[in-house]
Amino acid sequence: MTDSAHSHERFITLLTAYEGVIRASIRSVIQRPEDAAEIMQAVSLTMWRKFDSLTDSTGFAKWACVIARYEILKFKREKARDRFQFNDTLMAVILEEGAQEIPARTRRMAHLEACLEKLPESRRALVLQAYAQGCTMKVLAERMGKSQDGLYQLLRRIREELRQCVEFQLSSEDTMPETNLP
Amino acid sequence: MKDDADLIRLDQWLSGCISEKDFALLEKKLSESPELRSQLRSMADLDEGLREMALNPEVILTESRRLDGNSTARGSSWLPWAIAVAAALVAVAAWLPPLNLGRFGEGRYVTAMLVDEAGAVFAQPRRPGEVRFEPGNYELRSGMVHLRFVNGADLVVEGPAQFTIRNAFRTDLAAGRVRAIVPPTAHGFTVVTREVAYEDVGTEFGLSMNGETGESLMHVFDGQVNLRSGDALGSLLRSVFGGDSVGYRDGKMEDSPEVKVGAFPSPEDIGHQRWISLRKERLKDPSLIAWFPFERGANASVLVNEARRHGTTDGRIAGARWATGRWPGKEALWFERENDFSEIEIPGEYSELTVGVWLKVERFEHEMNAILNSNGSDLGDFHFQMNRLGLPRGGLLGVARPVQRWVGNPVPTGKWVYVVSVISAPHRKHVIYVNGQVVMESELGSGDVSIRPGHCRLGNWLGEGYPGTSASRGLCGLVDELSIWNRALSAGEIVTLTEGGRPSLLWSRENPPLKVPMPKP
Repeated sequence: MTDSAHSHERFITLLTAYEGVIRASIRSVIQRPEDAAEIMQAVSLTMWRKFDSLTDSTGFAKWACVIARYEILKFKREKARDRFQFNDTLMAVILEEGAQEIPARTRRMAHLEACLEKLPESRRALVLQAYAQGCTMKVLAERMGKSQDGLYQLLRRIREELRQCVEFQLSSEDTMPETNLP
Repeated sequence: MKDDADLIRLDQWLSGCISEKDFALLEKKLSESPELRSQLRSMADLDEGLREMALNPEVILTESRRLDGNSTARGSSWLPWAIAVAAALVAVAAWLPPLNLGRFGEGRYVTAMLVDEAGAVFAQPRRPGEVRFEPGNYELRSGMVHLRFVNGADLVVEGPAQFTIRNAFRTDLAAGRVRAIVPPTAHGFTVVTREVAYEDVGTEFGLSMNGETGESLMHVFDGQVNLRSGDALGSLLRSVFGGDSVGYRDGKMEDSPEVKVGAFPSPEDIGHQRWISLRKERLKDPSLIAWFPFERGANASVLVNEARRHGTTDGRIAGARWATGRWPGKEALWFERENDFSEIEIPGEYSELTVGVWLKVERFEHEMNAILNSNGSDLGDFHFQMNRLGLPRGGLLGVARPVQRWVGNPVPTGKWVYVVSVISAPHRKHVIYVNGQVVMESELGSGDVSIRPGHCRLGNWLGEGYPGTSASRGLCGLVDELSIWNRALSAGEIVTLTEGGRPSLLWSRENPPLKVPMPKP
């Protein structure tokens, strides 16, 4: 394989491994999921273009967070349509602290699937429907014959249940070695 | 300390239903509480994880199984989860009507990325700069795209085409022409047509699919492709090897059908195609007084000027040889020997002038390495060159430059770059750009500033009678485009021109910095 092919393969492997955490990192300061997706596009492209300048791939996730921070600020400056955006100082602190928590965040996302499995079937299906692309609370509430607020409260409780489950799993693994990510 | 109300506000913010009052309170509390910020990240992780899982567990499962047994963060633990979710969705179908989940198999984990495109128009609108391709249906109405899958497989698609990305190892082609280039990491990459599946076991094949008749024609450029039945069994029908072609229609296989091998799109076609598509638009600009696309005509010693305005001439090639430019099929002149050059004439007097050149330097052999210089040493002569470090410089003979500085990175060797010199007498400015970024800027002194290029040499300098002219300034490298405007182009226009002529999407405008202290100009 050529150097370029090796480099590409390494990049994709790392991106696949860390994409969830990078997305979540963006989401922690960007309220609208569609805006977060747009920023992720820009982050992916920038990382791909600059990947050859990354000498130590063990620092990929932190490097990605730096690029994400830059792209977030750029997006905020040029395109932000949402008035519920945190101020720049707070945003920087949230991202900086988040970059220090990458191993835990990776494990947190991995525990989520196990916690989802523990939910009763109907609640699991509901939360997946709610997060499916194209689904709106209004449509889902109508289909279920519930008020939007009633549906929101139900989903919030399910999310809280999942969050507690995930945090419990995280706290239970304190002696486990860190995931051997590429 | 956080309390339940804080958690509710966080959830409301992430859900997009927070009030202004609560947002202000949340922002204040987040600023004060590291614990609450940690909580926010925890909830964002959860939110993003759920969003991803809701889209298509099947795709993620397929990806992780095929890509690696153990290297990705998500492993085989998806299997029981996916089955459980599928069961759950079926179980609740009775009380929860199914929603339209979008395109088939939509998942958000990267399956392929856009490496390059030329004039690509999709039926489904794509955002500018959108490079990620996820599983789903695509209709490319016109243009060409080059996709690279996560396993390293390259797929070049020429429009009109209809295709469905199922996962990193399978794409269905309903209509159109493609070329697949499959490295060892992607062996098994399969393009499925209406009747049969073409499985590449390395390394390159072209495939055309007639959407109306269902006929598919496949040619193996190199390596081996297995032709398999399109049913669930995927039985091996035949192995086809490099240089051979096969056709399939109405259940019948045709050996060695007539296939136009050159018609299959290639990655290199795309950049060239994009450049060609911009040609007409570029020539419409009346300020473009000379444009040399570097395409060899009937007389190989003539460098054809397609603009020929204001009396500018074709070039006369002396010594420089024809070679391959930015893309295969695009020609360039290779300047290698001391006396290689191409001479052109730019008659007249100008108050503003922009000269843009796409070049690839092989090495910097001399103290000065010419790009385009007026012959001789008369007042108003135009100079454009690079020093031995690759830093571009130049100006007008007889015009002082009280301020002159390098502010950017030099031209590197071995990389195609777009160097542009912009001189404006009214603004008394001279700026040189490399790939759209300012690298040298200078102010022109007072007095008469008239730009009179006259006879010029590309890739060399004929500097008779001027001090220091005995030293050679021959360029060592390739040039494949030269444009001259009689006005000062803006920085934005130069960036646009750079992007339009970029060798590929992965080509970066940025160049490495100088490794030694910046010298004085």
